This record gives sequence, C-alpha cells and structure tokens, in this order.
Amino acid sequence: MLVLTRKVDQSIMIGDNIRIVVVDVRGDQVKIGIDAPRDVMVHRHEVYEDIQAENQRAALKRQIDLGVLERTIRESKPRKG
Amino acid sequence: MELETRLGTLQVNEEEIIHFPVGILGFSEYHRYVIVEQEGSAFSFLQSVDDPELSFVIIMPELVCADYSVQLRDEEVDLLQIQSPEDGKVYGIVTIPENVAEMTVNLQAPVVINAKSLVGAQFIIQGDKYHTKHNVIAEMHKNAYLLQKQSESQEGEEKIQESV
Repeated sequence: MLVLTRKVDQSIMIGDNIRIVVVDVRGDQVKIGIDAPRDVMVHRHEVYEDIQAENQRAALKRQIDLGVLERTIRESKPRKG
Repeated sequence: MELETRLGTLQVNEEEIIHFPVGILGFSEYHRYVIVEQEGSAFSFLQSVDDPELSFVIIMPELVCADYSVQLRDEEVDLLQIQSPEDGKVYGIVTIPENVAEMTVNLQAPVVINAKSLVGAQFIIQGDKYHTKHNVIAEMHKNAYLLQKQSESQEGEEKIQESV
C-alpha cells in the first residue's frame, strides 16, 4: 500500500478526478474531504462491507413464491411488547 | 429477449430494462435489471438481465415502515437524472432466511429507480435511523398499529367537527 504523509488542507489526487483532502486532525480522528465524480460511490469501509454482505445474503439461492411471503405476513401475530 | 431464470422463462423487452451504472453493491459487474411484479403482491423481483441466476425480492419501503423517506444527495439525483420527485421509485431489498417469517428488509441501502429514464442505483442513507435488517413482519405490525391510531384520531376529529 502506498503511504503518504499530508498536513491539514493538503490533498492527494487519485487519477484525474478524485481529490482527497485532509480537513482536520484531532487526536486519533482525521476528517477527510472527498471530491469525486458522481458515479464514484464513496462510503465508509465498514458500511460498504455491511451492505455488500447483506446483498449477498439477499440474492436468491432458491425459488421464492411471493404468495408464501404474503401468507406468512397475513397469518402473523403482533409480537408482544 | 428470453431469459431462463429462477422465476421461469421471462420475456424481457429492451424498453423495460433498467440500467444500473454502478450496479448493486457486491454485484458491480451487473448493470441491467428488470422488475418483475406479481399481481396482488406487495413484493416484486429485481431480476438481473446479465445473469439470469441473480435476482432479489424487493418491496416498497413505505409498506413496511410508513414514515420512510429518502433524501437523495445532489450527485445521486444527477446520477439518476431525476427531474421531479415523482420520477423516483424506491425499493428495499428483502433478505429471506430459511424461516420466511424472519425476513428482513434493508432500509439503509434502498434501490432507487428513475421510472422515466430507467436508470437505477443502490444508495446508502447516511445516519443511523435505518439499518440493513428491519424485520418486515414486526415493522408491519408496528405500522398497522400506527395506522389504526391515525384513523382513530381522524375519526375523533370528524366527531368534533360534527358536534361543531
């Protein structure tokens, strides 16, 4: 991995269109600004991983009958509490 | 075009294909989907055109969580070429475990589709109000309770008006 040292307000270019700015540093927290084209999605890594994993789980592995889902809802009882 | 999918043989017309420039997270290599609706069902399928094996169950989030709303950022509006709020259709991806009653909907990362330009994307909502696993049935019961309360208070108001 390439490691660069930057000061507050200094930035890094990734390719021609993505600019990363160090906005603020306080203790062990770094505030980062990102300028990227609109079709580049920018997310916190842990959020990204979480959603990717949920999508993998949601991708159908078997045939699902929507009627069964409807019936399950109709026949369900409100949970107590 | 004909697709052999888990749902059977699907006739897909070019003009109903929705383009996902970025793809669904984790499936970024697939860019074309169709929505397969089933009459009388709150659920639909989001079926990949590029990989007939890939499909998701989706639902309109407001059917699960009545006050659900999505605020798109400027770049998201641009990506979908949305011109007016009515252009955007929002869906939540449903995860269906062995025990169907435990199904959950991902309200943190809804799929938003511009029904006019047929461009779609999965966006991540900032903040911690929504997460990836809202229990569909529990939320619906909460909803039903709220709706009942709402209609009760409306009836109350009508009665007050009548008495005036």
